Amino acid sequence: MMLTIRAHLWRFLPAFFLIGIMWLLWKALYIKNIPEDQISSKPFPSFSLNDVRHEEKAVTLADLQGQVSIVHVWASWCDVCVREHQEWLNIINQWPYPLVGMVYRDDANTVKTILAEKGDPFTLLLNDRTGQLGVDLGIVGTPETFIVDANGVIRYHHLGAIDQAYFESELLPVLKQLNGNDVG
Amino acid sequence: MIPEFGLFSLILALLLSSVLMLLPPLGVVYSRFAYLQNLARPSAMAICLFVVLSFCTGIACFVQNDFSVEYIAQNSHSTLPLVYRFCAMWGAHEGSLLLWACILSLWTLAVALFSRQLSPAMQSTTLAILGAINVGFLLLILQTSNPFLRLPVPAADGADLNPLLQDPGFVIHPPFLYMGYVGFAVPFAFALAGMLVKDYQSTWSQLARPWALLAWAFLTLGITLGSWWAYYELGWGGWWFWDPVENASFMPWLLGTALVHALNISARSRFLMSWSALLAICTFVLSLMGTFLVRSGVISSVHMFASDPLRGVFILAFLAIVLVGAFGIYLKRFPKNTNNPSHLFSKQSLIVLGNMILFVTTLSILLGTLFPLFMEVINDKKMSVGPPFFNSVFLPLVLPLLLLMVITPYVHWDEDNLKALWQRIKKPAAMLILLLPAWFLMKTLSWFTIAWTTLGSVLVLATIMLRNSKRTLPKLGMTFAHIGIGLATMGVALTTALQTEKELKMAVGETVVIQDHQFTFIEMKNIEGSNYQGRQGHFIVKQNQSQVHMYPEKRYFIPREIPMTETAIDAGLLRDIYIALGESLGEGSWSVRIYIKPFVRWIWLGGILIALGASCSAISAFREGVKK
Repeated sequence: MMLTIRAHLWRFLPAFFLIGIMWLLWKALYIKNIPEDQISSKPFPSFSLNDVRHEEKAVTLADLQGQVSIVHVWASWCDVCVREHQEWLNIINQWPYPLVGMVYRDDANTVKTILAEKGDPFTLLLNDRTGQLGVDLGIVGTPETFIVDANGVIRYHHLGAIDQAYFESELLPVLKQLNGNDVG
Repeated sequence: MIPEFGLFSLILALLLSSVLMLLPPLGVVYSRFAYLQNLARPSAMAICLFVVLSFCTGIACFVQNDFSVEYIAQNSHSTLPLVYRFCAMWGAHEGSLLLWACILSLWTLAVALFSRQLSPAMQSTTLAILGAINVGFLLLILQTSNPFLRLPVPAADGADLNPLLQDPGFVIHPPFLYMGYVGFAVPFAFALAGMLVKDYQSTWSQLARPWALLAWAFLTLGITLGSWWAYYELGWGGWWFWDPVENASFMPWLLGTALVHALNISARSRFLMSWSALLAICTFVLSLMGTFLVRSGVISSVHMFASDPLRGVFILAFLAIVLVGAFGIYLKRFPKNTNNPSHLFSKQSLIVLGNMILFVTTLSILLGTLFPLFMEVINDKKMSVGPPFFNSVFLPLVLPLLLLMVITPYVHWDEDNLKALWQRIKKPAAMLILLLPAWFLMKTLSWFTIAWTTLGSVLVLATIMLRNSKRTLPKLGMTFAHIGIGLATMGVALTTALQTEKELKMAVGETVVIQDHQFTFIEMKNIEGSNYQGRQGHFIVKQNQSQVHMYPEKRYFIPREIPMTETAIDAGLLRDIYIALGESLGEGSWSVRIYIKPFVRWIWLGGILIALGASCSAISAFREGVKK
């Protein structure tokens, strides 16, 4: 009996092959794709601001270009933002995309205190003291989050706080798609 | 009330399909319940009645502009012309599935009507398998894609049918394609039933052959029509894009080609039984997979944001059941080859060789089609596999296939030797040598084009010169089909090599000369249709003494706010002139695409001939079946 099974094992080959294909198709069902027309394409406004942590250094739009980055607008006076901070620490810990923070009409020292207390997930942290960049971006309220592609074009915009699950389901696919397009 | 009538018919059809799937096999297994086998044919007929009724109800709702039905509100509009309201039924997901089910029930009916000469066991097993496939599809429709769902509040007007689909090509293309796809369910059912019912283990391929040929003929026509539609509707002048949706129909076609040839052997000599059964299963599975790829949104997911994965899961589960069931039966009781050919060099072995090549070709196209998905699943990288891959894999594989097609008809069925064969193929071989320099004289052609064109023309001539037997119907079928392949090959090679594509800026009154054709842009005027407004250009094309008027259009469809290009084509057997209007560039000038495509018609002419040949062979195979 065993012998006959072994002798005819090759006949199961197509079955294994097809099972592999079925698995592939099943996984493919759950891939998220973002259609082009649902992605905004406004260029990120140009700016020249200081980093909260390094006052002497000016950051400009050119620093954003060259990689896909997340731009997160928040403020220390915004309760929701401060509570959201932990989520960003977790997110960046798990998916280390460049995260550019922008504190909106805020006091640099309070911000530094929060960072020292909770942790600092930001690659850059712009200090929009006058709120000019916020106005140029068309901020409705804090917190807001943007995804900016390597050419400095805004490709995604979210109003309100984000948690890890939301990031994974909504922002991550966009980030992957943008990064994938750059590679391809 | 009317949409509910359609829904009710569908539910009835589902119940009847379950009856067909369960009861007659019970009668086959337990002789006590043998009378249950009598249920098979009547229930097959009733299923067909109710599914067709449901389908017609859907069409009636479309014609009446019943925008309280969600599907109709999404895919129709009160200004949509009547003919497109008819076929808007299969313009989107839900309706296409219903068309699928409708055609499946028609095939089931056909089997019920033309299988009276079979034993009750074979008849009811075959019909029960078709019934099971019916159950799967009707469940899919009712569970995930009900076309008769009502809106909570009726819509004031619909969102209109996609303008791409408002075209005569679309009216007939999907039904033919589905006739082909779904038709392969019949050989599949015969193959399984043949393995299950002992007496038929050696004869199922005779029964399956006419159906396989017929399905293959329909699929050929469907693909040909699809290619023709893409050519004039998309405005880019391309006739094949290696797009995953096209591949999804091309793979079953390739395997179907292998299947009809394998059945030709196994129906006569009991050789290749197991292989034919495997091909019958794989062809149908590929058809199902094609349906999955197109319908689940996996491939065209760029157009469907967050589409419901449940549909895909459902089709996939169905596919899994079909696979497990079919391969389970196959592995358990696969038919044994009793009559292996004693001679290596014979028509049979050459056909086997052709089968191998077709199988490998199908696998490589499958690889190319699924590879982007694979990369995305494994690696999270987006990429696309385009024409460069498919062309470089497909063309070298088809070359030996064409050579085989030239030689094989000259070879004797059971045994042959090279010396005797040489006597028979001297003439075609001489032609090859004569034709080659003739093509070389056209210095502009590359050696690659020359090779292909020569092979194509030799295939045509060699097939015509084949005179070793009488012109019987099956011979005629083979002749037509092979000539069709030859013509299509020549068409593909010559169009690709000789076409001229120009994109120009033209103002009204301007004249350009492309090759020896003189194009004059006479005027531009406004036009209006029932659901669109547009601009129509008037061109005069002069060549030597003759002149043609051509009217390309730019249409703007009002309900969906989509602009569309309507190309103007002057079709000819030797060349097509193709004008498509681009964007307005201001000051009365327009961007205009002008293509001259020599021999492009030959591709579709070939397709039609193949389908014609397959139908001839199908008819003669049916007749043979009746005689027995």
